[in-house]
Amino acid sequence: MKVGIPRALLYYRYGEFWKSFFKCLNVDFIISPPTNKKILDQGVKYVSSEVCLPVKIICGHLDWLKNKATHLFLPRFVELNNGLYTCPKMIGIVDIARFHFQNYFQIISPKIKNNFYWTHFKLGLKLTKNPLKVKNAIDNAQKYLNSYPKLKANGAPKILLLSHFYNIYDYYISQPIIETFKNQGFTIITKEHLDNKRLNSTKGFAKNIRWVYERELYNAFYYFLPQVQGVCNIISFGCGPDSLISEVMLNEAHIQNKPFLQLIIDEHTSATGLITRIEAFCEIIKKRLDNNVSSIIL
Amino acid sequence: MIKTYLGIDVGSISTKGVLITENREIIAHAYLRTQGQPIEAIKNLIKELFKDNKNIEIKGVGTTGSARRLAGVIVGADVIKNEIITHAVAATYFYPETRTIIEIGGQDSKIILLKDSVPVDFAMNTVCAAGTGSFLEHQAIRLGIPIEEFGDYALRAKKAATIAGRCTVFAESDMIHKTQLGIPIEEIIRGLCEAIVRNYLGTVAKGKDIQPLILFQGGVAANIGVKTAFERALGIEVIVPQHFLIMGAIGAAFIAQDYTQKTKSTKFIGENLLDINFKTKTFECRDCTNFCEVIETYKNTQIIDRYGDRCGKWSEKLPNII
Repeated sequence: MKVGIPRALLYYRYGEFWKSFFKCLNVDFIISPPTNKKILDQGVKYVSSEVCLPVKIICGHLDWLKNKATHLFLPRFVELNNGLYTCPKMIGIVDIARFHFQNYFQIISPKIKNNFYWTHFKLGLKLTKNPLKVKNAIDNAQKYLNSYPKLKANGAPKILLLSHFYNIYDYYISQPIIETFKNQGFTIITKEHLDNKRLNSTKGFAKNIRWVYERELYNAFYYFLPQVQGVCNIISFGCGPDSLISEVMLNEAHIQNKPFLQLIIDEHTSATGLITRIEAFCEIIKKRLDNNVSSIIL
Repeated sequence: MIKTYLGIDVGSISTKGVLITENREIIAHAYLRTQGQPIEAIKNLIKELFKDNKNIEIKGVGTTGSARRLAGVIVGADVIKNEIITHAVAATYFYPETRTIIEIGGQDSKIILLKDSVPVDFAMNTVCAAGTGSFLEHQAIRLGIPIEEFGDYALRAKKAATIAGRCTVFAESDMIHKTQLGIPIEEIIRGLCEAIVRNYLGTVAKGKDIQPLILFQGGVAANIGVKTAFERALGIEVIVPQHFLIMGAIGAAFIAQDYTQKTKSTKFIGENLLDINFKTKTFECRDCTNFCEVIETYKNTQIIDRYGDRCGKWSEKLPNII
């Protein structure tokens, strides 16, 4: 048995956990390579053009894994922490995988609904009959749960780059954006730089947000806003939850007089439009700093 | 010899150029169609600008617009600046009181907010070019009306037909449907102008404080119907500056002037660029699975610019000529 893990979507949050978990259970696994053009081009063929870029990308990763693995590991994340949901596409991706790839692999898709630990425990028991070994594997992997990948963030001026981890840490998507900011002399912080307690805070408006990752975005936005010179929000075209939460943040940034840039991404390859917007955004921030406009209320 | 500065704005639809003196007087300007051939358009633009001005000396060059990099490499620009900054620089020179710039071009629409002549916020259309110049032009051609007269048609209408403005495809089917109902063409055109304004205010300018003085720039500003629709929607006067078409180019020239007065030299390659054969080539790099599309610019047989590679190995290999 060889388990295939797509390097997309939730891999960027739980990847390290899964790697450690399967390794401890002596399960052979293979992870698809970082996204590249070929993977994206393949992925686009599987889904309707209306779905968001990250879903197109994960389909490309599934395509890459076929014939290389016997099983496909794709848990269905429905609900986390009581009443906090992931997005419909994340819940439905397993069905897309089933539709296209069930002839290629056996699909392992435990449903996660407030029971991250137990779901993995039960899965472990299926793979090995030894409960102690499963418990050890989970306990060992646990330390990776709260250690997310982070961009290096020292120096000023700072930009808060707000987007889902599967957009920012998939460098195929984010590299042109991050590079342009760096070339303009800006340092980037992301929501992963905020501690877990603040990230999951339910204070203020955040308690009304029922999407787990959107709540994180909002909390990070709210916490970092006074510390940064500007906010750049990357939204995948067609993302419903993001389009709503982005409006809320846009208004708040407006009230607090902070530049806020919305960038909408899809599979088109030309980065020119993005670069023009980022360059102008950076220059406006620099001009504000030079003229000390940040203290003036618009 | 008159000391002058050259500003070039190469957009998706049109190529604009301007020559200004040391005192920021415009001595020549030109506007022509890019027609998908930016290199030819730039050469024709230079020809046009220099035609009646033999006794000049170029002290600095600035390029802007979506093809600013290509234009900059070809003419030897001292500064290559994005459209937002150049438009803001030109607007505040002519109208220091400007607080809002509405700019609608061929493919882009943007809003720029200023405070004390400093651009402090901006927004641009996102993935969709609905309600920009190329759409208006397409409709003008379809209706058989010269684009220059579009605005007058709108002004003649007493009321506006309701046209969807969010999507050009829906707008077009709305327009076809309304003509078939027998609604006069004037009312439909006025409806279209209002749809463009509604779309602009609802998407690009969403959440922005639109304060007077408002300048309206870019190709679509030629359309009096759209200007009037803006005034009606905002309830404030909207000013279309005299040089609304070439504001980007003017801004680029101003920035070039400021820059070269510090550096005291220009990289401008001179009028002989008309005799040089410029070419662009693209190839797909097969060294990894990213298959980057690398774009190369040749000056006769010599490579002068190369970009588009994610890893940077092609652009770094370039001998530093620029």
